[in-house]
Amino acid sequence: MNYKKIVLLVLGFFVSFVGFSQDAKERNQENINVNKFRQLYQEFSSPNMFRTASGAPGPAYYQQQADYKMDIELDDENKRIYGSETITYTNNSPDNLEYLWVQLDQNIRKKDSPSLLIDGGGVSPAYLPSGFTKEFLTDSFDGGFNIEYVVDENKNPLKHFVNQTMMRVDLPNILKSGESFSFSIKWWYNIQDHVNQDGRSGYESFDKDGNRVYIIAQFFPRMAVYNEVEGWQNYQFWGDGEFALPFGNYDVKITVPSDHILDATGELQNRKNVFSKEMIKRYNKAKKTYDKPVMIVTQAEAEEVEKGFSKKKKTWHFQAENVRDFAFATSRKFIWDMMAVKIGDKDVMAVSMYPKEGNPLWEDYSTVVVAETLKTYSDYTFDYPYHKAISVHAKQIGMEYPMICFNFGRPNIDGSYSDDVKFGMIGVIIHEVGHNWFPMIVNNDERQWAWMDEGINTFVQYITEQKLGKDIPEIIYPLENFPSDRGPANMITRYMGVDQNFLAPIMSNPENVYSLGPNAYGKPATALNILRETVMGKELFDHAFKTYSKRWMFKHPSPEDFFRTMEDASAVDLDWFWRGWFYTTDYVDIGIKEVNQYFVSNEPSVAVKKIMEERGITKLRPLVFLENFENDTNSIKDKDPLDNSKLLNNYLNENELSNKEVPKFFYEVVFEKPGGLVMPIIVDFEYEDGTTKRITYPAQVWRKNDNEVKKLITSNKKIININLDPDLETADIDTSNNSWPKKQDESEFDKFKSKVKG
Amino acid sequence: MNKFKLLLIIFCLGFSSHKYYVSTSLFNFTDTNSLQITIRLFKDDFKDALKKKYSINRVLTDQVLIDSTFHSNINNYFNSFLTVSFDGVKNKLNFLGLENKNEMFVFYLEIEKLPSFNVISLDNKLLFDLYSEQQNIIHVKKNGIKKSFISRLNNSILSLNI
Repeated sequence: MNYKKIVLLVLGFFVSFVGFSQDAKERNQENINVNKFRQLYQEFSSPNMFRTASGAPGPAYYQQQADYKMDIELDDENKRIYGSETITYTNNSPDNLEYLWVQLDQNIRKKDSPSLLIDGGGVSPAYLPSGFTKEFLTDSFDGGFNIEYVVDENKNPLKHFVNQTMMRVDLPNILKSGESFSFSIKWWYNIQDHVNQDGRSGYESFDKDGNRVYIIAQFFPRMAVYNEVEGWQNYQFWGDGEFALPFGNYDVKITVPSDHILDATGELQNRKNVFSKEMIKRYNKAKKTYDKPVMIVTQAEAEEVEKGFSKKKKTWHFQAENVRDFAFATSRKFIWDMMAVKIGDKDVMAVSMYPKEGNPLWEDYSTVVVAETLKTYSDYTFDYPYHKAISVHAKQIGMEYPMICFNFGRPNIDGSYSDDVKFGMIGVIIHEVGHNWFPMIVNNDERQWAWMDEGINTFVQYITEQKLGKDIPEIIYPLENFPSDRGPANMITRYMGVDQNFLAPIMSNPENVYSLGPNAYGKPATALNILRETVMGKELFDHAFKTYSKRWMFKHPSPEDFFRTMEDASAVDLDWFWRGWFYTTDYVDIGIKEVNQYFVSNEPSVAVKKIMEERGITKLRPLVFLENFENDTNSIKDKDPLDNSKLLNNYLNENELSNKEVPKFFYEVVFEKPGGLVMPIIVDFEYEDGTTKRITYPAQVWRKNDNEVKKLITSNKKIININLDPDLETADIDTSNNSWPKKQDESEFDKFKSKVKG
Repeated sequence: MNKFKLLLIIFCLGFSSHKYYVSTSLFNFTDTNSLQITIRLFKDDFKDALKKKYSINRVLTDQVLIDSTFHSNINNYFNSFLTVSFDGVKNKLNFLGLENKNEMFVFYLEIEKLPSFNVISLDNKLLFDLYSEQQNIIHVKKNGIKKSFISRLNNSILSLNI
């Protein structure tokens, strides 16, 4: 900076200071930073020793451990389940704990559960007889845990208090950092009919043969998560917000009728006691069969067994390491098949269990889809670390647990099924098996953030569905691509364009959003897909996504850890994207407002003349002018620019630039943005010779003006069409303003009408 | 379309099971003084409703409904359960046809040459004869402004000053 400028600055400052004091009342309002590209400092928690600014676990990161030893017994006749469990809880936090919180999720089924009272609705003036009966004449289900005791290692009762679905266990002594505490709980509860009484687990009755299929989960008192983000995560279970669970090791013995077939989380410890010799032979064959499932229990065998009702009992023993939960399924109706899948240098078993009512759909597709899911998810994240993945058929549930999940997709009674049922079943199996990664291993807090597992998982589900269509085309024949429900950008526009009163940001608690499906599954999955395919590109995205998965494998990530890692591993600033898509309900709508055409002229253009007049300028040095087509009084707009501007011609000749081609066409394209979200502008310019050129302006093109951006396009060929977002990849909710000249975009209604009116 | 399938599926993926009865309709006022009505219903729901109301015993395939065989029944069904009134005067709906979109049918109905009016009333009772839990989501679009409402069994009439 030179001396003169400093003097001027000082003078300027002085003058403006005087001015300020005189006209204080007339000053403009100051700006605060509302730029769409500002960083998320207000929204994000501060980085710390537990979680770093790069999105990785920090040097002081810790997580608690909860190990379980359980004895479970199923009473098939009375539809009850009994259990006693010993929990060993290890305090790895730096904090002293005065009490522990244990989750009693079954208590949502207690007769007096407040969750029955939180939905509004009011009176109906009319009922169907069936609805009336259900509403007024049916006793509410007598569910929920019956806790028989809570005792310490020496069988001394422990003081405890149940608040809805959470039980506080008071510790006799402070549990210091690094210490463990063991205690035992004995409990039982009535199992509900999940077909008629809802829920994520329970039984289905088959009236024809008097059998039941049990899918059992959230069935034991489970430790809540304690960490530096929430303290104890003891937000009540109301029904929509799923689970937050610490990792641990499990040793579980389950006693069921001796004619039942059972599978569960964990490695079976007593195969010789519970398998017949023939089953073991088939199992050994399945372990070496990589191309198709091997039947462990055939349909004919299952149909034979379901006729009897054994009074004898059998105990199945499982152990699981480093899992966050435990679930099982048991029935004498189960058909069972398995095959091996190579993941890295390890063999994993893909397993399916289903009653005959699931066939022929289940024997044809379930295990094959499990295998394909294990491969694709491993490719995009990390190798599946467990030894098996089981898909169990339940009539209308899709629900996930470590190594085991329950999936819908039931054919008609005659065995026929529509494509909707088939692709719905394949989609849900991919989704629920995929949950092994998110949240079973990359273990987010589902109670608070449903999108972190549902949205991220639905995104990988989409990739897996599309890959399955390519890897095993006969499954989708005659379709060319798997008919995914979610993922592609244009599938979310209907949701994002609805009345704002019906929308909540993705960053909302799942209990409080209007429709959780598009909110926590569809929109975040689409956002990630757009990030991958349009904003970041596949290579950058896939590397960053894998980095996140690996960093948080067997740990508890928070939303910031995901957002930060995606930037950290890619060098793409994404705060604007996270802000718009995850923290607001804004939508994408970008359009072409107008296109102005210009030609080169020797005469001052109308615009220049106006400026001269305003400023009292009478003379200009010779310049090259660009004049709007509308002001072409001398009819020179179609002439060669070098004929129109001798000045330019001479300059090029003098500077030996005459070999350069001078553009003939100058277009000013005005892009407008009625929508709140910033997105890249993807635009195809179509020339009169039939060729097309695509330009992608990065989202940052909006950083200085959030409403309108002008671009000058030069060319030697005439542009006949301009199309915005030609491949529908930005989730633009209104495409009627996406082309120039404006295309009459026929509505769905008008299209149909002109079709039927011929 | 997809949104409402999502609605259905989520309750399955999340934690099952409660079948969610929902339809959507768009009431679009055009520049040419028509009201265009586009309605999406789940196929199986609609087939059940039609069978029940007209005591149809045969299996209804998608194609049989799309072909004009049952169009007079369908027209009658919509005119029975969907009422559009202008200043209290009921207006007949003209049923144009239906299309097959995955697990939904899309129905097209129209009222041309709208009378001048102050208040339009929409009474959407579609499928209420079948399910008391049915919810019909209604989008109304006029001059580029879109509003959304929900019609339930105990609260099915929507009156708008537009």
